[in-house]
Amino acid sequence: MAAATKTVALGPEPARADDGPRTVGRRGSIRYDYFKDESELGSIIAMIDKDLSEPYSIYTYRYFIRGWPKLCIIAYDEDQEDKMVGVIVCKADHSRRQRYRGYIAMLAVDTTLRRKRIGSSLVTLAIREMVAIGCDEAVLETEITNKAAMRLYENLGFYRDKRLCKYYLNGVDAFRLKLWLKDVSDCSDVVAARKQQEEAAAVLAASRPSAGAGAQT
Amino acid sequence: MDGGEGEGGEGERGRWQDATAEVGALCEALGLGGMVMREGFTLQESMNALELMSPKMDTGMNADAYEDLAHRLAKGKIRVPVESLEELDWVAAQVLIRELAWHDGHLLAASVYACAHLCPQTQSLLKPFVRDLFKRWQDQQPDTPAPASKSEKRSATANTAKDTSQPFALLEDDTDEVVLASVSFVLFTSIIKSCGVARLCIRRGDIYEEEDWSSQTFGLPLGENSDVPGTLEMINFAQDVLRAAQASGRKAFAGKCERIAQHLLFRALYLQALHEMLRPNIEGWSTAEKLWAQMAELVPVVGPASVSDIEPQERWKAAFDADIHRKLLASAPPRAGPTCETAPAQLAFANFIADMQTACALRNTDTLFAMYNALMRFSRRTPSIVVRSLVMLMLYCENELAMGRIAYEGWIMDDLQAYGVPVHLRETEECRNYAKFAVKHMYDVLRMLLANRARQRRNIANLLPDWAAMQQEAELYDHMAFVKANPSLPRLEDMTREQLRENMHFYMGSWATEWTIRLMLHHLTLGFELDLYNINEYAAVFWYGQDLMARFLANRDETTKFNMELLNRLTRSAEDSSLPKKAQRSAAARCVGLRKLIGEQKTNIALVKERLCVEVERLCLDGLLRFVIGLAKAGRFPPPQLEFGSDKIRYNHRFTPYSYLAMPRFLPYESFAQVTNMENYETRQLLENAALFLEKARSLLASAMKAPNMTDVEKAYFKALFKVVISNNVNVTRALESVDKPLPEGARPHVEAQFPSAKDSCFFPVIVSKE
Repeated sequence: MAAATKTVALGPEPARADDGPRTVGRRGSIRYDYFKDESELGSIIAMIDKDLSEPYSIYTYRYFIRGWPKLCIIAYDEDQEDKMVGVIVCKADHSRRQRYRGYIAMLAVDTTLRRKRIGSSLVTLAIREMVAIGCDEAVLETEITNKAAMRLYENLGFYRDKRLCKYYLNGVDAFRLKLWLKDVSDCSDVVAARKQQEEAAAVLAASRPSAGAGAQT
Repeated sequence: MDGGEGEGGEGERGRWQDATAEVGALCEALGLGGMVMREGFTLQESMNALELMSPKMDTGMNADAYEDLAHRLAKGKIRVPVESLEELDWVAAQVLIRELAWHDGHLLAASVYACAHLCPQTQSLLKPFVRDLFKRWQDQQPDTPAPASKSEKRSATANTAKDTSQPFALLEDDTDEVVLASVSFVLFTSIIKSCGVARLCIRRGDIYEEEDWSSQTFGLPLGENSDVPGTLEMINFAQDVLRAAQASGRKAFAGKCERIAQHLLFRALYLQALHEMLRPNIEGWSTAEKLWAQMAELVPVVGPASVSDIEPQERWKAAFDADIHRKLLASAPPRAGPTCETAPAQLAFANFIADMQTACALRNTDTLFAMYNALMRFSRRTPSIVVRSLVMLMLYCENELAMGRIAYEGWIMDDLQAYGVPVHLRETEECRNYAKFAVKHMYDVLRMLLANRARQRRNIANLLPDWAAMQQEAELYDHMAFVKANPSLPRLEDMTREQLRENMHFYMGSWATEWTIRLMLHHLTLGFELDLYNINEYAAVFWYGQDLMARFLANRDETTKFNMELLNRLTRSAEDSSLPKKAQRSAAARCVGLRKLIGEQKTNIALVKERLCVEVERLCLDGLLRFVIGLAKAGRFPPPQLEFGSDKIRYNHRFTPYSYLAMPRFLPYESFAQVTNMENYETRQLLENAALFLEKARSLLASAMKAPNMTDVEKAYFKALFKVVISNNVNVTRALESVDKPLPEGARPHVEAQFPSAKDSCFFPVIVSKE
């Protein structure tokens, strides 16, 4: 309904002044850090591998994490000696239509710490990074039966953009969820197309003979 | 490694080079987390990489536990040939379940060929049993005469000396094993061949997407269309052998021959039907229709459920294992195989045959709009890719005619006539040129309806920009056609506004707008069916939907109104003695044509029904819109608190596909916000209005369901919509009763959408307020 949805800043708080450069946010005892190096990769894979229905090779993890280290955010529980309790892995690049798109590839949270907003915090922080680098939208796929995931993302403003039949190897359909970060007219592909049109119009205008030229002769 | 120097250098495509030295050197320089990779290493390449020995990815991982088919046969875990006709009966039904799974997108190797009996190694074991018997049978068959010339016919001599008067009989040497092997071989061969012909149908139709059907055969054999006559001959052989076995009184064949004969009959009919449907220009479709009708009678007899009284032995079940082809499937990540439950498979089988019968009946469709409606109904049944592919072949035959007989141009011209374009405009070259221009776009619309439901929505979003172009072209052609058909009138540029309004109507433009709105409404309602809408966007969807429906009705009404006014003006002109006789005659002739056109429109049942449906649905959406706004106003629908995006951004993106169009004009967010601003309304007023609209919808539906000329499908839809309207009305009444009461302490109100009539293809929601 008109003006019904309130836009508020929720999610984790920013890093404290005495936090290291890798820390990107906090919520209670949970500290959220950017990916550091290969030494974390084994734990990340172990955490994600448990929950995912699809098999990923180590190259897939490296593709994301090495390509977009600031879009890989890890949750550590300071009350449990900095145990890794959650991770999100994303990327950002241009779609076929040249829209700058953030993609959430993987999200996993320690099963003993569910429903403590760790998942939504990780997603929120990742989207904030995407906004900071100028993404037009954030996208992910999830099984249509994964009600918990859909609730999490829809509570953050994601909508179901498409239904993908038999998307997963287990034959289950998927929803492509999308969070639109910019209005249509501000998206990269639209801005680029508009700029192209303006440049073409300018070239055309410049190539036309001026109105006074004929009069002068 | 691209551009590598030294011994290896940059390799040519397809030439192996040893890169050990280069990779070794690069690895020496790697830091922690470093990776040697080709430039442009993409996500697709990383996803396709297999980690060897990973059980999640490496299909061949548990090699120790794997026994290939040769081992299983050698150990007697699978017996070839089958031991009894009862086993064959059970096996045939199980293969049918997997065949349907293959149609549904499962890998051939994991579905049909999960049956060991069909595998080439097993079939080759049967050949020695069959060879001699088949030859003896063939020798006994009457020669099939070659097409004779007239002179050969005149001097025809007696037939060859084959004795075809006696039925085929078995000899003592033809053991039970030989008989079972022969019949099995033929039945399994016919299954393989029919899968091959089905594959040909799908490839020729060329509408499948990766989720519809997997074209990978992994080298497993399938038949070709040219194999059909030979396979039918073999089926005849098997049927004769069964008859002979029964006649011989052998115990092993008492009681079950008939069932196997029916399996064989089904396969013969199925092969013949597909073969007929592949003939050019749908020449064989009327024959195929009869064959499908015969197959429909066999559904209870040969379907998966027909063997539910048989208790399979363990050795029978051992012949079904998708793991048999683990080595073949090792290059792909492990996928879930078909579930193979009997009841759903029986239903799928019955639906498959019924869908084929429906597909055959489509060829008798005469008008474009009727075909559109028929395909809309057909698509809701979610037919298999085999059926959809054949319908595609019907829609675009080798001579580029629909159903081998209708030119799309002519179809479009007829549709323009049905819409209300007068004959004096239709006769212009401009109108014909527009119809030619519209052919591809109209064909794309029909093709879109043969995609799966999720793809249809995406395809419509891709079609709408094309229809924007259709509208632009239509306006141009309207202009040109009008000028040509009315030479006595001033040029359009010289006409006053009143003259324009009186004389000019964008007929072709309005026709294009009507089709555009049809596509948009289909796109919108598919969103409900596919469960795409968040409850928070229902108000926008309802609002846009009811507006589209209003514009659909207004668009058609404008054309009808213009035609009536034109008729009045022409009638006056025909009777105006001050005009030249030629002008009077011309006006009179146009009157006749226009009167006939208006009469035809009033009696065009399809258009009248469509109008009724749109009116009812519009009332329903109007009611639902007021209901959800009323609930929001009453605090039963708290808005989500979001950090990212805004209502406006989400609205604009959701309805972006509609923004390409000139007609209907895109409804901006500001209009939606203004109309649905809760501050303009009282809660009770909103809910009461909701009830009013829903009651109007209910009343109109009640009369519609009693109207004559309603088909069973239409009645079922209206009945389903009726239930939705009643349920919503009940919920509105409940909301009215509780609207003034405060919410209980700690209550977390929310609103849900339920779809109780989805099975009747009615995807209008029932809105339920919960606490």
